[in-house]
Amino acid sequence: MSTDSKSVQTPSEEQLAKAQEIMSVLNACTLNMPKEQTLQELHIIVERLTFIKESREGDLSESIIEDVLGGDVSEDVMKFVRWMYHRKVLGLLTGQHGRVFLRYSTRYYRKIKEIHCITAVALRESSRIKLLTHLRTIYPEPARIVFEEAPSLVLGCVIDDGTNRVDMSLMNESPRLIHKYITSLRPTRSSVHGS
Amino acid sequence: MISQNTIIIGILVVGIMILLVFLVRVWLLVRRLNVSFGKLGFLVREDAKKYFDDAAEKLVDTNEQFQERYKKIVEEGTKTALAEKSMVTEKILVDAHSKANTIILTARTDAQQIIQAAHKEADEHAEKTLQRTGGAIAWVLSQYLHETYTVEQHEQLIEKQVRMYVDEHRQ
Repeated sequence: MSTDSKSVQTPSEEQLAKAQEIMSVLNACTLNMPKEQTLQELHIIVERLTFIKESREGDLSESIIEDVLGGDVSEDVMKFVRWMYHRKVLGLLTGQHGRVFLRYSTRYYRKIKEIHCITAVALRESSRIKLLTHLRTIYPEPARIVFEEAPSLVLGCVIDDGTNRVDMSLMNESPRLIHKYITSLRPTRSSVHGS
Repeated sequence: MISQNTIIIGILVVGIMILLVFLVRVWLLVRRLNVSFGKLGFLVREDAKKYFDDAAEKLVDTNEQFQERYKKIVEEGTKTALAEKSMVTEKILVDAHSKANTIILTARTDAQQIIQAAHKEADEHAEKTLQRTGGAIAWVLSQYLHETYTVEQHEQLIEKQVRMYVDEHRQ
């Protein structure tokens, strides 16, 4: 156990390269997911795989992994788990390695910017890709762009990058436009009063 | 020969004639008396009228005279008082003027306040009404858009907004 701890504390270049590769795959798989959800699902994966690994002998099969995680983990994160399995590094998601991986991921994602694009209707895939292409010009990877649906907006969208929220929805714009209309009515009304 | 019956009948006829004459005379006298009373009544009425007209004229004259005298007394009294108490009068006039000014100012302020309150109330009412109208417009608009806007139209607008956002935030 002490040997494991030492190796985690002072990672070699090879380990660092492997960690970077893992993180880039994780990012690629979960690029459209909220950071919070990604971390929650990683937490579930580490807990369950650790429990299964400790409670049975031998390597975990793909079917066991599907049984243990299926239904509670999104397809995007399952892609990452399958990749880890085929890459034969699934052990990094269990036990002490798994906990270190979770801490690292938490620190990593804390620095990553997350942009929420909230729309009044659910967008089709083609439209999402178009919008992603536009937004990537100002929010390059590894920033996350997450699409959400909020029918209460009625029309248009809201873009929230964590520090700045731009609401271009009709729900937000209509009071301003109505107020503008009311203000434009005022002089006419007072002139009527005056006469 | 004239019979006894004939004499009696003659006496009766004469008697009746005398009675008739007497009655006619009485009737004529009564009529004449009536006319006389009528004339007398007219004369009495005319006299009474004349008397009362005279009395009324006298009364009016008396009143007019009294009023003229009263006016004179007041005027003379006022003149005397003003001449004697010019300082006091002046003070009274100044006070009265000041009071009148205060009353006018208060009335004016009250009127302004009433007008301002009415304007304010009208403005608030108008604001509330317009806000309610605004809410109604927004609601109708949202219902209309939910029903009539297609996903493509939504997507086109969102894409336009995102492009605008990107252009604004590009460094």
